[in-house]
Amino acid sequence: MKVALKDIDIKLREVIESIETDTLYTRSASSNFIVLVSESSDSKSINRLLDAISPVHPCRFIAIRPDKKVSDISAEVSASCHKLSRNQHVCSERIILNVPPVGFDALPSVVNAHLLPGVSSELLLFGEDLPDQLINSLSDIADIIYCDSVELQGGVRDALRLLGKVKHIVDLRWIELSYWRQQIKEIFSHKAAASFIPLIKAIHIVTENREGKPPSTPGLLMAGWLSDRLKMSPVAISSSGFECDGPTAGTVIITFEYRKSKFRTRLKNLEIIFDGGNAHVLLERDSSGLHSEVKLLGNEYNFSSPLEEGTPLKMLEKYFVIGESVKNYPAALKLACEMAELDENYRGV
Amino acid sequence: MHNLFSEGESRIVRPPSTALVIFGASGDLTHRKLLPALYNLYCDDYLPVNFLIIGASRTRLSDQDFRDSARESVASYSRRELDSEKWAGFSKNMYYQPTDASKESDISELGKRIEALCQGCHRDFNYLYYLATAPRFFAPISANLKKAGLVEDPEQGMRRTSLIVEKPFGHDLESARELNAKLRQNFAESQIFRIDHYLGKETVQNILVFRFANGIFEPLWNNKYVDHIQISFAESIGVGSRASYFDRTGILRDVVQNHLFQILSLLCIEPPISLSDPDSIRDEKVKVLRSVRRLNKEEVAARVVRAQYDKGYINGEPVPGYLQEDGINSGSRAETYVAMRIEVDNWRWSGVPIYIRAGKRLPRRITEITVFFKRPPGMLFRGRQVYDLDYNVLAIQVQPEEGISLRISAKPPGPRLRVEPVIMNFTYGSSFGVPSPEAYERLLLDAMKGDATLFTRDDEIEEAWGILTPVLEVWKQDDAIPLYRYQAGSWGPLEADALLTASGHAWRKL
Ligand SMILES: NC(=O)c1ccc[n+]([C@@H]2O[C@H](COP(=O)([O-])OP(=O)(O)OC[C@H]3O[C@@H](n4cnc5c(N)ncnc54)[C@H](OP(=O)(O)O)[C@@H]3O)[C@@H](O)[C@H]2O)c1
Repeated sequence: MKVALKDIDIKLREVIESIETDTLYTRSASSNFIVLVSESSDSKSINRLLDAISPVHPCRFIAIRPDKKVSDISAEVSASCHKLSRNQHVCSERIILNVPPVGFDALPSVVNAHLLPGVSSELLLFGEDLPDQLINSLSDIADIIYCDSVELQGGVRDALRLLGKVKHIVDLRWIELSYWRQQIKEIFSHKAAASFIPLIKAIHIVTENREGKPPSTPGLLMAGWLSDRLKMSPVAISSSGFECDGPTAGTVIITFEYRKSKFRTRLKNLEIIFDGGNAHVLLERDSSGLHSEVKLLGNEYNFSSPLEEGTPLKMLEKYFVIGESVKNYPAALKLACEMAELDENYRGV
Repeated sequence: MHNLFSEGESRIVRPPSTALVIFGASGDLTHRKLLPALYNLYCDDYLPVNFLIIGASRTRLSDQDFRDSARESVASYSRRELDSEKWAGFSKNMYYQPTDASKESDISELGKRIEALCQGCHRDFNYLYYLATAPRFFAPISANLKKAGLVEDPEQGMRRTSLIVEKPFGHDLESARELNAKLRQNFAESQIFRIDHYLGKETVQNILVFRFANGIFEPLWNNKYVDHIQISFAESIGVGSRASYFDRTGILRDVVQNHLFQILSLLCIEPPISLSDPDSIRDEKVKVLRSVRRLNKEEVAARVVRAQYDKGYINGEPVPGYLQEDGINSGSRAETYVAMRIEVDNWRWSGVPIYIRAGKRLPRRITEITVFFKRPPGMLFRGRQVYDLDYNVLAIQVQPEEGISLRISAKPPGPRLRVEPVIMNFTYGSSFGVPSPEAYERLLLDAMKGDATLFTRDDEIEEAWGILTPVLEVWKQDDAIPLYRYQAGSWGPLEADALLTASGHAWRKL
């Protein structure tokens, strides 16, 4: 239903009240969920997105769509309910705002006027080419940002900048990498493997993207996480890779390889090379999942886990349903940024 | 002697016969608030069986003119729709007497009219005078009423005569004392009803019920379990037609001294001896205000933040800055936002910071009282979750919707041990299924019954001004105390956030 800005609250109430009442309908008030989508989305695709999120994360939704074709900010309101049990439903309210560039300055005031008070506000940046001004002003309102760092124009560095504004960032690439992190964690949870950590000499990360060229955001995040866990930081870059120093393993060289593929960007392999030749770890993805091959003192061990294809929406659902720690993300992101900067300087970008 | 017949009896619902005289009957308050409230009381059968409403102001109107304009106002502002039959029953009791209240002769004419109208009903009426005029008329009207023989000594006679006084009650401690003294030359304290319409709001009254009728909260209501308290008053409107008044007053005087300190005193009150005797509650409220630690000069600079809004947007609409509003002096230093940290320095509350903020042109209209309970030790959950352990928060929303919510931490379904905040909500509309009456309805009804519990006593007013005296003095004397700026539509200046971050707190997002 299209409504005037001043009538948003009244119409939302009407929408909720008009829902039949033979079963118990609860209006969700767990948080405010602001979604910034790209101009190419339409009401249908926005509603599809919200339909996917609301059953796993019922909230008050405020979706914002930049729109060069309208002259004023316009609003639509609706509600969607899903069944919790036989006679119980949870309803999420939805406000969709179409915003022309002249309305960008005024937009935060519209959002602020319609947040549920006293609960946190989350912001999902969904899609490419989102206007910087809106990203900035909406992140000032949010406590938590969900985004895909691959889709941010400045990649990991944009993510770091946004992290400075909010309590947490849930980077969907980080969620996607959780399978990799999990498998590495598993491998080194065995004492025999852990004893080799101080002997790590090099890490080789193979990534795929459409151009077969740097940078690779998932690669940088992975390298950032490994550096942080090994308490190292990048000190130099040369033709042989990043030189990282730290108290755990001394100097470790991290190298990247970029392969051309039909995938937008993803991790392909990860190899850990140890001093002395008594150990070797290789993680590799194929169409059946993520596999690792561990060689320790002449023995070979193999592990596997499924690997879900990481569309941002899938990752988001996974996050809401299962949850995922983002505790190590800030430190990993910071190191990823340091590497990105070294790399750009080196390549003269 | 104590009234032996009142014990164990429920309190009357319908007040005795009353003639309500409204000074300022052609004004905004009368038309937007008082007449709609009276109409609703009538529809709910709460008005006395015999009642008279006599409007008095200088504008020359006939009884019928007054009824006609009242009908329009009730149609626009009443919470229930105007019903012609009810209106006819209500409005036949309305009269109007052109009166310049500063003229003795006019008041004595008014007196004659009231007496004639009452005699026509063959009943004895109590007289209730409502001062809905500018405050400079409060003292002269009370004096003229006395001179015209329209005020009875409460110790003698059977007719109750009372005076309802609107805000503002003074503009500082000295002027409030002076006004109290002047009113008391003509009326006894027990006859004076100083209105603070916040006390008429259901949620504000519910603070007492909530605290003292539930076993689970009162034991926690002290510095052992409460971490800090926030009282927030936000309006999205600017100054509108009150520009010149507001520009002389500022928001500290306009809402903090009265509404927010009244809320504070109820929130922090000790259990009164009784809820049915107006003075037991007011005695305890005044103790709270007396316990608020007075700030010294350095503390005013460090703990009170004032600011004024610049242009910005409210719900998508561009709005001008304060200095560009009509009727505001260029270069005005009136604060449209204030935030302060105070402490109630008594046995129960010592050490609990109480943060108060009030502002105009904030993103939305909301008044909320929030009690943050101390956090449990977090070690069991460290590293387990995305979020830090949140405070348990009890939020009492006073407007726009009246309700209470409690934030607790819970585990979302699923195999992982996570902790996330959830909200338990109670709203008046959905819990009781009846709409809340407007604050003025309750207060007018209480005044007709002679129940002063929800009205402010002289000493409360003076204590509340006393708390603000150091602030007002420092602001007046020291131009170096900054008047910060904030964008209309934002939640106030950054400096107000800094007031809390020093103690690891943050304003609740509203
Ligand atoms: N409006 C609100 O929402 C509101 C809220 C809280 C408190 N208040 C307080 O309520 C009081 C009235 O406010 P308001 O907004 O209603 O002001 P207003 O619209 O200016 O009304 C003032 C009233 O006083 C009358 N008046 C002026 N001089 C008079 C005189 N010499 N004798 C008799 N009547 C006289 C005016 O009528 P004539 O010109 O016909 O005489 C008019 O009816 C103020 O103290 C204000 O602070 C108002």
